[in-house]
Amino acid sequence: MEKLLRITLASKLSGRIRLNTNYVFDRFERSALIYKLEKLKFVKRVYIYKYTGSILIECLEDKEEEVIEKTSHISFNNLHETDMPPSLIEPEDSKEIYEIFRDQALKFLFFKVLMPMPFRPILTVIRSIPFIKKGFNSLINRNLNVELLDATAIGISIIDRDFKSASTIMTLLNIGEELEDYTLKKTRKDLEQSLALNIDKVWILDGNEHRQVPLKNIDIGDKVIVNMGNVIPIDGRVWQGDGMVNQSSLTGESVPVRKIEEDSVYAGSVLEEGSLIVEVIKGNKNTKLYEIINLISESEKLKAEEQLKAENMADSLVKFSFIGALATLLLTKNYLKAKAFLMVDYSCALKLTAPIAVMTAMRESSNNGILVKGGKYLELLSKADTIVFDKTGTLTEAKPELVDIITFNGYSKKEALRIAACLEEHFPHSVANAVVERAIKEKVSHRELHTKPEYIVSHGIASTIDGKRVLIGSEHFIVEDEGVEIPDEINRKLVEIKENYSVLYLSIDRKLIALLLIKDPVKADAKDTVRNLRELGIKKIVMLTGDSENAASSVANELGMDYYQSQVLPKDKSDFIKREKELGNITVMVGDGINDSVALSNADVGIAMTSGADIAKEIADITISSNELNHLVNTIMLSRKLEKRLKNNYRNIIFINTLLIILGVTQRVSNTTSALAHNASTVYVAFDNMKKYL
Amino acid sequence: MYKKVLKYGASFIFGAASAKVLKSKVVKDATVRVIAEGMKAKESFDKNVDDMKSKAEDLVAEARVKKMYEEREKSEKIIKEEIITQE
Repeated sequence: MEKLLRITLASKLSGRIRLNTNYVFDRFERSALIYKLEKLKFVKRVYIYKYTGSILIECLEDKEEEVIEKTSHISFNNLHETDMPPSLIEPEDSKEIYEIFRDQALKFLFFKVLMPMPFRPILTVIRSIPFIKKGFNSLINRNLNVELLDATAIGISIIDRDFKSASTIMTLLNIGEELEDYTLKKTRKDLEQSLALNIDKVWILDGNEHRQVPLKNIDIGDKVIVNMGNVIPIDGRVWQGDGMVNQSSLTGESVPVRKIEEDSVYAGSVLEEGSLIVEVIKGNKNTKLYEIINLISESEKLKAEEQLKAENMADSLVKFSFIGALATLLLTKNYLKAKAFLMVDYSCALKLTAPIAVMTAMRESSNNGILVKGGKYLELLSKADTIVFDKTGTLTEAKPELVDIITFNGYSKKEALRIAACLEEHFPHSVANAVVERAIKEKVSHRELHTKPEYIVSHGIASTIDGKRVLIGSEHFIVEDEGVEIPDEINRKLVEIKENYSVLYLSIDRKLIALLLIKDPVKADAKDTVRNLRELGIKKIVMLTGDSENAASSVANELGMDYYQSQVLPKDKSDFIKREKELGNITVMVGDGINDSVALSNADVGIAMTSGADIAKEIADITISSNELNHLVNTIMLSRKLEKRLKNNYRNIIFINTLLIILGVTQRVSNTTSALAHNASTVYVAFDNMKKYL
Repeated sequence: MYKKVLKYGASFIFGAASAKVLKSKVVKDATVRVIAEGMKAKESFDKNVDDMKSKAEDLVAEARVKKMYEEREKSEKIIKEEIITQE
């Protein structure tokens, strides 16, 4: 488009900008521009008006100026040459509600006003051909469905030479169908958009800040942070960090490869250890998200039971319409009364509203950062009575804290902390981090006193200070392997301490000098969550953990679990779930780690907390991409509301349409009025189902 | 019945005649013009609707923001008053 584009700022409100242009964009230009603008920082959603070229930008509050500034750098030329994925191009036949009504109104006007009287019957017949054809097809395929019903109603009207009502019925059917199509498509599109914005997110380094952005907004040069256990989302070069990357999904090689600065990493490989900051070198075009979306909306297996029931019922109800019509005709010998049955059907409303209700629920969850992989799981969740939690990372922060230090042999707490931090800082381990963090917090500085530390896998660290051997590590390492003796009185004390804490032993020259008490704190909202779950009527709340008995019992008591089991293996977790299911309980597993994945897949509903590994997220039916447990409660409430809405729909649709049939048969309303009321009510129920739940 | 035959006959003749008429240049030009005008009218109608829609949306959005600010101000005032009374 070679032109002078004039852009003016028409309105600016908090989080909302309207730009007016003097150019009317075509379908491709619209899609390309939306794609470009939505990639900008802070922009949430963009809408472009078809006929005026006005652009509406929704963005974060207080970021309007920045968005306007960024928009001014965007090139509006050559919008046809874009790198956007073809799936984002607006389909040719997409219509706005206004256009649906306008087109039908024009047609109606043409037939009713401009067309000379004698032509109308002929044209009505011509118009009816597609409807009759569809009806015939159903008849040939022995399908007693709505199309046959419609064709019969239109056919009878034409035979009766009631062309007026035939054409009214057809107009209503067309509007109804287009509106229904519109609501369905819009719901689906909203869901896709919401998933793309809220689920597929990555952390990037922005200056010194960590910021979470939608994956689709990632650009070349961005620095993406990848943590242990996660899939590397993009192709890039390691900018900072050190890690072991498993590239088996690309190369088939199952041994992880070490990646350091300047090494290339590829999308789809998994970071097994360490952490990396990756500089993006290639734009990503299609994310895996679109596969998930297709899976969610297409797969029959993932549909809610209630939805399937509505769909099956919809088809089977059609035959009753025919039976009713025939019976009325035989009894009353009045075909107008009989026709009342054909004007109204239950099926389109039943078929339409269920998917809309389910997709709306999924979108609402997604806006809260919860990915639900199918209506079925929401339905099961609403009926759940047993919830099984993993401990570490799910109920607790998985970020141990050094709570206290007990010293012996005249060492001060500060000294002990200094020595411990000095040794531990060389090893990236969560417990080590806890020690180092505490040292930083207490401003304990330290010089490197020791010789090169040696790391003894899963036991501890050994080094030398002033020629004396220094050890830090587990009881097993210090006492059994290294033979440090612990006085009886301390041992007695330790029994009590171990009930609540994990203990790190520090010794110098074969003498115990300090015990470091470490605790993995429970999440701030864990207690409330358990209480709320009980209020929602969950009968059994269980915790299964691979951790020690002491750590497990302290958390279980603090939170008020019904039952807990410690030191379980992954297999034990899934066995427990199988047993619960055999007892007839609908069981939900909430976990985060790789060791939970079997249990997650065995449970009726597997829920993964997103701080966890990608593999768990892959397997889970629902993922919560936030660390707040409270989202679990919200999701259950939402699922119950969905169930209620589906049941209500059911009742309302049957009630309204039955009423219309009765009114029609008793001839209190005319055939065309009941057709109008039927279609209007269907569209109304569909729109009503797009409403928010919570 | 006779009337009906006449009516259909008349419309048949009308149809045949209109086919002939459409072939004449004058009538053709006129028809093209009428259709073009109709298209123009539709376009400007569409434009107006879009315009009205965007203006209405802006108004609603502005009202919403105004309401939000007023509510915020009100709650801030209450908090301030509480602080004052506490002091």
